[in-house]
Amino acid sequence: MTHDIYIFGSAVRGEVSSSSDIDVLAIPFGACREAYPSSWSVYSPETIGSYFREGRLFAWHLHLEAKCIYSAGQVSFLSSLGVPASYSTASKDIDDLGEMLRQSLWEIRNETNSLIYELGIAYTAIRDIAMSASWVMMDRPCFSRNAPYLLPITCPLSREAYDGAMHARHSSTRGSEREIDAIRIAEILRATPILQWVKDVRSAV
Amino acid sequence: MTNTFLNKVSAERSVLAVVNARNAGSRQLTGLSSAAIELWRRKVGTEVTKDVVGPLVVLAELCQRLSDRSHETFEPLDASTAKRIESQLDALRSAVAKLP
Repeated sequence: MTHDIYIFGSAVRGEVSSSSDIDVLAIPFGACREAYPSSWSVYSPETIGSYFREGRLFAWHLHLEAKCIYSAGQVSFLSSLGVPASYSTASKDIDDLGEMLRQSLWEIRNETNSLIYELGIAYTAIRDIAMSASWVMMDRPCFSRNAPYLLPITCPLSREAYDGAMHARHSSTRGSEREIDAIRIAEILRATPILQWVKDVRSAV
Repeated sequence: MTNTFLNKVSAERSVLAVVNARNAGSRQLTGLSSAAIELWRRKVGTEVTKDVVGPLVVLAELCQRLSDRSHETFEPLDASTAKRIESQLDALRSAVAKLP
């Protein structure tokens, strides 16, 4: 089994909190995707290559922040790809993520029985909208989970609710057992003009 | 939209809705990652959930939560995957209906 292994995300940026984990990316050069821990991100070289050619934001995330900790070759696969194509789909990405957020808010307003999942989706949409917008609105792209609060147009959602929704996402993706006051977070989210913020950010991009 | 599973999030949402119709509140399934499924199994009971976990894992794989592991991307599903999800959902509904 040959592969490249990278770390990326908050640990690489030095952002650490009690809920931090280490984001690991494996790029296997063969058909053994199941051989990796379930918590790792596993992408084929073809998929990563296509992301670089399309100039996806995730490709830029990896290009700017991923640290290779093991490479099957003398030059890491990501280094061999060079610089990704320019990220040109911020507006469309924000529209798509905005729609995802709207659907999630609809589910929350209509008393979904999957409230923790929906809060996690709302968190992801808000965070990723800010990451996409950072390409245009900031000096350099921002891949921090704090991105919504670092934009010139600051997110109106309280940090308490945002962090709570992040823990909900961690429950969905990592099976985190942290106690989540989902009903209170949902109440705050419903009372916050978050879709107006999305509209304002979209107008600025 | 005629095909409700063209989006991975809506597919996951449909799966969770089936399970959580019988397991609300602190017993809700929070996601389709293997870690979330394992957490739910422990909360509800491994013996009770054994017949549900099979179709659930198949659906999770179909939703690319376990097989692709692209945790933070929200890609459209292709039509054949969507059809398989609809079929597996029937198996999941049957298993959930038998839960005590």
